[in-house]
Amino acid sequence: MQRILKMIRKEFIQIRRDRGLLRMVAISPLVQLLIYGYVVATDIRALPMVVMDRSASSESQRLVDRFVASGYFKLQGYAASLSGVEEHLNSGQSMMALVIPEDYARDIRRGVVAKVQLLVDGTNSNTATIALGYAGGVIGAENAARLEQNLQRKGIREIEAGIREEPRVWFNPSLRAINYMVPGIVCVLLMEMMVPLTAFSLVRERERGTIEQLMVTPLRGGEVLIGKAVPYILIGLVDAVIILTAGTVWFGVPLPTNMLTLFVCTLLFIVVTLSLGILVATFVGTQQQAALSAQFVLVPNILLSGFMFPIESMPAGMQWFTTILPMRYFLVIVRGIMMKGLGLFDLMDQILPLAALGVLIFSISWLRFRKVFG
Amino acid sequence: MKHSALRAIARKEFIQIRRDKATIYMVFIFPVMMLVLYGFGIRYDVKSVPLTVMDQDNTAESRQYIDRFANSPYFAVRNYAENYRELQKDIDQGKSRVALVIPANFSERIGSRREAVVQVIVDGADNNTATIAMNYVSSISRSYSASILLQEMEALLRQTNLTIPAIEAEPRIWFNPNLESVQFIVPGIIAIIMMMVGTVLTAVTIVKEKEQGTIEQIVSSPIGRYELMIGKVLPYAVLSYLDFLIVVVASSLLFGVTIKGSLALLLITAFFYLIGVLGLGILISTATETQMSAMLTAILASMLPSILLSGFIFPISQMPAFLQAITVVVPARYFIEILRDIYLKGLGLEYFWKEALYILVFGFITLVLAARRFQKRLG
Repeated sequence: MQRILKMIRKEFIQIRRDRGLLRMVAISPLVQLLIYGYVVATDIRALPMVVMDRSASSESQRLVDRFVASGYFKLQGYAASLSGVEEHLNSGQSMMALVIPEDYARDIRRGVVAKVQLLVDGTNSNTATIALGYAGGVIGAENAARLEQNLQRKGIREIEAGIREEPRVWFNPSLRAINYMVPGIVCVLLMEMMVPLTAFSLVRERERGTIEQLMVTPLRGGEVLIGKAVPYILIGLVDAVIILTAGTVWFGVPLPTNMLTLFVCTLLFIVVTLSLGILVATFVGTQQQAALSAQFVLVPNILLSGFMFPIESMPAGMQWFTTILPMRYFLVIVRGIMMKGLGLFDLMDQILPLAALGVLIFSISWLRFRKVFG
Repeated sequence: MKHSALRAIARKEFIQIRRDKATIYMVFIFPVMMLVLYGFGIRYDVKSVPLTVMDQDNTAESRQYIDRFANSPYFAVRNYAENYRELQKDIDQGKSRVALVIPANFSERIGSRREAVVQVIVDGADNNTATIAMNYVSSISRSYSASILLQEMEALLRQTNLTIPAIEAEPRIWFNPNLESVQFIVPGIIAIIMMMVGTVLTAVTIVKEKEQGTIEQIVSSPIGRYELMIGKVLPYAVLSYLDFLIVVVASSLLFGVTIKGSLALLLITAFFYLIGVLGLGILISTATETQMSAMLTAILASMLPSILLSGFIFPISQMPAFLQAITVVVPARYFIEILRDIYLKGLGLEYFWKEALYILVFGFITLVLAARRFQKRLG
């Protein structure tokens, strides 16, 4: 016990001397919270659009107004010709063009199908898909209004048959994006800090040759490991607290009611990420290699865990692959605790696989640690 | 500047890297992994939303309505719940994101041409998916309603000579007609990977000499500081540029992504970008003392903005004003714009000379700043 404490103290002294590191530990969560909070957690609105109105009628004006009034599109200007439209799309000034043909108003008045053209910049396929969806909604609404008008004019009473939905939104009734983002940022940040930091602190001893010195001391392998781990566990917890506090104070995200469950699960996840860091450290000889190979762990976890992109939309093979990513389970756990108020037992189907994965990763990294560092 | 000294330092670095097989493998595998993950893994559209159905009516009509959900690519029916408790459990545990409750009077009201009300319960935690899923539900319900309405009104409409719909939109997608996401991510991946290798590894390798104290040995040798700086950076410049080429070739071989514009312009602007990438790496190395903090700083200052503030996935026009202002100094923003112009739009220099100039100026400024600080720190 005495020896472990000494080891922890040594590690703390090293961390304290590294001003740059302390700065990052404090700043990184805040910067990430701001960027993710304001960039990822925003709905797509006010997409820049250009109109080429060759009909120039009250009918065409009504359609344009409906596009603007929807709030999904922002009118950047009118183009007189197709080359003007092309210029807008090429320069990226607009991402969608609405082209209304000459006979639009005539067709509408005669009750013939009137066609309009939507030219969409597909370079960002994601935004393009969303824009098409919005445009479809706007045109659908205009259609419904026209139909009702036409029917009324012909003296036909509309039939009220059909289905009306009554939506009930649970857990996040106002559909605030930031409420969903903050739990995710806790996961990302822990992953981003813990894996490389642990790997670096172990590899550093080897790179500088100080590991031999540690090995000739009466410290046993396990004691070295615990001594190394404790300071980083604390750093992880501090960062989690920073994010939760800033998320509450700045973005008004409701605090979780079940703090103890959150604490226990966070601790479990930190241990898993530490084990991953140890595992990485056993495969590399220099800190530079550690920096690179940590990316091989981080990138799949961040991209495929459901942090930004839902897992169920992925191809089947990738969905299967996600089951070995620890972050996938922890994300569901943190969101479950913070947004749904779930308790330890509700979350067992996530906690158990995470713990099992943790035991597996830890065992492998412990075996390798003994072989490589022992 | 002494060329022999420069050559000696660069040679030392190249030898060190060549001995370091692991780094070389990783540097070459990394871009391929990114391509595969972004290209195959991520889907930006929402599909197969897990759905729980509670059918209290259990008639041909209600099943017909449910079938519309089951047959749609947007929903996957996970469970038919018997009661509310089962339904609640599904949503609580995240087994389903949407639950549909069909009331017992559904078929009766539909049959008598009155409005039937169904309850839609949505897990709002993921606000984005929730919004999209609700839209899907609405559009399925609307088309179901329309089919009933049509049956009813067909005769009437034929009499009165009216068409539904009145307006039809013809979408044309430019630059990326099939809306393939690989097409749009390749530029982003190039910008990110060059940062990863050029900035993060450069910063770490320079700080390593400081951390291990070997820099004193080099400084006390007749090698000048500029030679030292350039010599240290050169191998990473080569690796970073190679990674760019790997993405270009691999995206074409694996995903059939072709370059519509000029290859020469692509190669030149990537070189401009490389200068800034390396300058940033040296700058970070002068501000940090250990490899650990160098890496964390480099990731925060280079990778994160290149991914999130560059318009790579999230459009800049959608960000709040203060973040839009920050993106002005993110070189990846301009580089990605140029890459998209060349790759997808096939445009020439007249469209992106300003961006290219900016990248060049950015590179020049960071390199000058880096060189001055580099001198000061070691002198």
